[in-house]
Amino acid sequence: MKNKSFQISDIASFRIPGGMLFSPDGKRLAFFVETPDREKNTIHFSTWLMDDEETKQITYSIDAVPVMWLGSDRLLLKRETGDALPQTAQLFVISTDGGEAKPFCTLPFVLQSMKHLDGNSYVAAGVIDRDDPDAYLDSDDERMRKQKARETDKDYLVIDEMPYAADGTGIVNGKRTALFTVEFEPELKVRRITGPDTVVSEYAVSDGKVLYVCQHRDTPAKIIYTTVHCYDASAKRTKTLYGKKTHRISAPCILNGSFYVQATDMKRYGVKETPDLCRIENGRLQPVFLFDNAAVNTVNGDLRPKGCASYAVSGSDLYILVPVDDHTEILRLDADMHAENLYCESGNVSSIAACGDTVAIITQNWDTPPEIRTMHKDGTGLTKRTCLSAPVTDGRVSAPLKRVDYTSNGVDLHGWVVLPKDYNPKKKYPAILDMHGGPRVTYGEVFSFEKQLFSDRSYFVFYTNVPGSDARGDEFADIRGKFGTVDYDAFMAFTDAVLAAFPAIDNSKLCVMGLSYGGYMSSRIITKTDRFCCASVQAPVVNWITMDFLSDIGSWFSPDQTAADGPFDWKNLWETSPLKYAENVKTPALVLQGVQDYRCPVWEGMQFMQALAVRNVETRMVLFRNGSHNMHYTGLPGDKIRRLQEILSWFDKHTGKEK
Amino acid sequence: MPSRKLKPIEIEDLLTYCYPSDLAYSPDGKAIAFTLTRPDADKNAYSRSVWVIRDGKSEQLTHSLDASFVLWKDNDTLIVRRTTADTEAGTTSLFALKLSGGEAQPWLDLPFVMSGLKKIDETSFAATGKIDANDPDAYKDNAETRKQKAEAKQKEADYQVVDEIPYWHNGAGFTNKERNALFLISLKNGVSVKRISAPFQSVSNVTVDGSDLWCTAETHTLKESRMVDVLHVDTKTGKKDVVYGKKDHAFRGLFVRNGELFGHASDMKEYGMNQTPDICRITKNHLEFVMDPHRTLMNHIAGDTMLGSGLQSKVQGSNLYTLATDVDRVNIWKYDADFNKTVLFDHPGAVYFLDVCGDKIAFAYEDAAAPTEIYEMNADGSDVKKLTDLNGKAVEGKYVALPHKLAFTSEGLDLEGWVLLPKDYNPKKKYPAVLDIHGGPRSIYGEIFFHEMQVWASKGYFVFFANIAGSDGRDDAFADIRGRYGEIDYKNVMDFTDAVIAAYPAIDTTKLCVTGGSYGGFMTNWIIGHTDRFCAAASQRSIASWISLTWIADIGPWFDPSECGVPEGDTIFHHYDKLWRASPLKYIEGAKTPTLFIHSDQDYRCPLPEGMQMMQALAYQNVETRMCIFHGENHELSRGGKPLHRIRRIKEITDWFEAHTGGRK
Repeated sequence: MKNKSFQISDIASFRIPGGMLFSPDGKRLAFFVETPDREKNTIHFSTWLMDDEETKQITYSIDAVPVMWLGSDRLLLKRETGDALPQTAQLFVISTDGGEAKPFCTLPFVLQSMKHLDGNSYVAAGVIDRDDPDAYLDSDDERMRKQKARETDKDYLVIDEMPYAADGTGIVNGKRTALFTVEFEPELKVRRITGPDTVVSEYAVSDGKVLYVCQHRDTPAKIIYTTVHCYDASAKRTKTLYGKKTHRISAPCILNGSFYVQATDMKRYGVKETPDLCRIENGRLQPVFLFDNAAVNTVNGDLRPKGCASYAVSGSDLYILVPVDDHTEILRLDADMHAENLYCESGNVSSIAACGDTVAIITQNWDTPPEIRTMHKDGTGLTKRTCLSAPVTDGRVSAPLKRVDYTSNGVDLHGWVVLPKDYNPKKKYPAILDMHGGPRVTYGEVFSFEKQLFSDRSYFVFYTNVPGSDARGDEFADIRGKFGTVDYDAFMAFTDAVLAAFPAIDNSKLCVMGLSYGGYMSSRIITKTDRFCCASVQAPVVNWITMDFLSDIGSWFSPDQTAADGPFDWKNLWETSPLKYAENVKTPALVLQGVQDYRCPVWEGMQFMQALAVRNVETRMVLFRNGSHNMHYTGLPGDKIRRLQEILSWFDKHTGKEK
Repeated sequence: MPSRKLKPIEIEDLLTYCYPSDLAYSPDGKAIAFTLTRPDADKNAYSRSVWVIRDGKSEQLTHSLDASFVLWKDNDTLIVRRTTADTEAGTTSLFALKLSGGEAQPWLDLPFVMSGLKKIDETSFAATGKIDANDPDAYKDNAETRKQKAEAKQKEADYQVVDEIPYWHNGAGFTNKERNALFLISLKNGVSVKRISAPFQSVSNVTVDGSDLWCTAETHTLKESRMVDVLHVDTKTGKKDVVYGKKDHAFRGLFVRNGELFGHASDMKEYGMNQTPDICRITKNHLEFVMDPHRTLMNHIAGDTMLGSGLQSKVQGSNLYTLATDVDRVNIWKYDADFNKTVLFDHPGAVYFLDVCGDKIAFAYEDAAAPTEIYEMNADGSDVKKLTDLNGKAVEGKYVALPHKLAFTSEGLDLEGWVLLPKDYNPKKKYPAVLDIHGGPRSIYGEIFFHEMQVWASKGYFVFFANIAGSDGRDDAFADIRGRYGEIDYKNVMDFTDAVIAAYPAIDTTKLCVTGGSYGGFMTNWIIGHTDRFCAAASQRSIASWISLTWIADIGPWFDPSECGVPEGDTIFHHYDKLWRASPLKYIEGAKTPTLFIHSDQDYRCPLPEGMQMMQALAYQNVETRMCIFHGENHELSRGGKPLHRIRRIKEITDWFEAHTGGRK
């Protein structure tokens, strides 16, 4: 039977759906497809349309993503033709009846999202500059003059805030996300409705009301607390619904005329504590539904859809994605906050959209990369509606996956083992321990290109969820101050369990790899044991002190995860830093770092590499000039390919494979 | 003339200064060649031209295309280096320029980027230049192969692989697997170029005497060593052998005198990397101690009006003529055959480089009144004459604050500093003041023309600066503050500030500003974590944490732990407490001083994360702070940065001080 192997370059061949938007009448679903282009080393976006008859691509030649429906037969797209004025967004409109997209209007700000508000007015989120918040009103000439001034000043970057950058975005110093009301008829009218210091994170719209969560940045330092407000389109006024700086608030939604958010005061489990679903009444947050885990998809693989939503409102129903154990489930909450479980399959659900009686989800499992499926609102009639990955996966048998259960420090844990291609129990094979990031993230039976690739190259791959991982409650996830202890013990217990279950693994040819928290772990592991013949350390945390004030989340993440008493509690920050123990390392380590990584900045990988080289430990660091923290799934095709080449070369070299 | 009749020195005056370098006498001593570097504001770059002084007149020889002086081929021929449209990447174009007339004509194209050239005889030269240790014979490639390799390199542009340390070097970018190779060039029958050094070997201190060549050499594949070999090369045969291979000394220089080889050698045992080298006689595997000069025999002055360099010493006959950084100035000394010292030139200010020929010494010198000019004197130090007028016009009619010396004691030491008076000084008024702290710390302040200080004096500020413990100019013990950063040096700075305030009651003590770069940035960061007495600080290319500095900086593991008092040879990992004690970041909680940070994003000496950590830690506490990052600049911004960048830097600092002292912005 035909069973083709993956080539490394196939990582840049997958088309991934995202950004689902139902038409108001629920008859059509618009979405975009992300398509990598290896030749030009870039990524393209095209708009697609799905109805009962067919699913088809409707834009070509120039990238376009859906923004919003105008009625149910016209779709607004965002598209760049290259000749727009600076700091604007070009909108195009395409009819479902046919014809190419035609120019609709140009918005005078950088658009992030837009929704219908009321009658012929819309609300949009866009980027403004704190020091020039009315620049959106500038004439064309004024715009060009300011652009020229920016160009003259391009040799200098002035920053005066903390954090000054955001991973994946770049420099955000002085930038704010504002809300605007927009009218297109009779002519374009745009009005900013939030202040120059307001940073809007999320918003929901219903019946002419905009419920939004934001922060007021009137100090150099960003704080973690958010507040809730509501803009009333008819009264043209904003009310503060919850203004106390006590909670981390997200996921606003308007359901049956009431306002809901997810909120936590972080008092029991710190920054990552699971929020409760709360109704806002009389200036108070009233918990109405308690989650076991934060209602955000944390079950991840290496093909990740963009433009995702973790929840959706349709009629009087609220649909929420929740991670459970090692997969994603879908809860439907009714008006009385009774929850019904609609979906429970292995793998994950990345995004959900709902309209009328139809729910659309993007799902993936071990065998199948992300595709869109639709179902009835009661969970029946689940149907696969896209077939985007078939060209890459056809003709290939998915690598066999076996579950392994084990215990560590009295806790029941489980992981998986991926068998090497053409597995023969009489042979000996090298093996790779692949660790996820987070740590509050989850592995599951989710499509993983790299694991399938390693299997094709005759490696065992083994992966697990150790304490610290998500989807098993706050208590299980809480390893604050214990990094490198209970998690380390579990990884070692898992490795022992896997070796015992699969004697075909050559225990002198064990490789360890991970990124972010996984990079922390792979660097920490090699300070504690020499059992691995080599390591790949990507975008790690090696020094919680440098993370403090150099990471975009450092000042709260560092002290939170190390159970330190604030960002100046140097002793506790240093205690679990791998750099402190780098003297013990003997394992040859490959270090991979994105230069534009603002999460675990380039300085982390650099510190580790130099600390190894000074002791003559074999090391190689590869700096990716265009790489951000998540370059392994958001990066350019060339970077994704290069990363896998480097890892495989390193592992092949140290497990004695011939080149 | 009363200062109110004089014009102020403006920030933009930086565009009017020019900088001589590469000074050399012609073999017969009748002419002096040098390179002149001038800022070009339109191109935001520097233009370089070759000049010659003969018959008492300075003359610019090259025009239109930049050129820099390399060496005298003979009394009529200068070899200059110039890049033209025909110069291929990775090669060096050398031209011959005749004093007797005509434009520079192509002379020799070297198939590598040249770092130095020395003449052996009429048809042989020794050159050093950059190679890739993994492809050491690339210099032999034909044009087609070069092109292919350049294309492959272009494809790699998105990635940087590093697998040794150091992998980058301030001012040189990423240098992973680059080496400085030694080549012998013969022009006898056509042009032949031969690499003499080994693929992973870098050479330095190339010294030629007759057909003998000596140099220092270091070889590594993963970790560079400070301890080097001394090599000898017979330039007739190309054969090389190790003269001193014990790898227990670092060498700052080599020289040959009366057929004997000497070196400036240091075992770094007593005072670490900054230890003053001894002069030693070198024979096969043997170093014989000759003398300890007790002073740095190089220019180590801090300033912002010198670009490029030149010879720091020269042997003529039985004499060694050398620069010496002495207390508060850079002098010229002569050591005779028995190493008895004669002081030939001893004036406030600084000598930057020299050359000696026959009975004459030519040198570049700067005093407090104006930037550098070229001078000549007799070899016995008599009859000093100024030969050029490169910078006189730049300061004509301008207020130049002259330094007033101030002696003070602190921590049992007798120290000195200076005060510049503000323009139109009236002792009945009150003035803001700037404390400027030099880098190093092993460098000195002296009485030279310091542009940024003059800008502030012209704007109505007192400027005060001192040579505190850790500075150069005295002996090793004075310069040695290893393990005591932030202790004795900080106390010296505070005592100096008190002494200046006491001596000049016109200083408004609520309007004190502090600034400094590198070690001066370290001290500025230390200051804001220990006192609130300054109303504003400007911290430049600074240090926040010796831990991150050790593991990120180009000289990190070799220099930084040692400066924190980690004993030589001990492993850094056992002494993190020493590194952290001396880290300004440790004390940043509770800091209140509004602080500006200036940092270059290609500074590999004190990398960007250093200033960044301090700045973000202040922003976290809602202390007023601002950072200006300069793209493409490195640790040398204030001296060697692009002209407009240097102006922006002073403007940022000046605006910050003005805003916080109630002055105009």
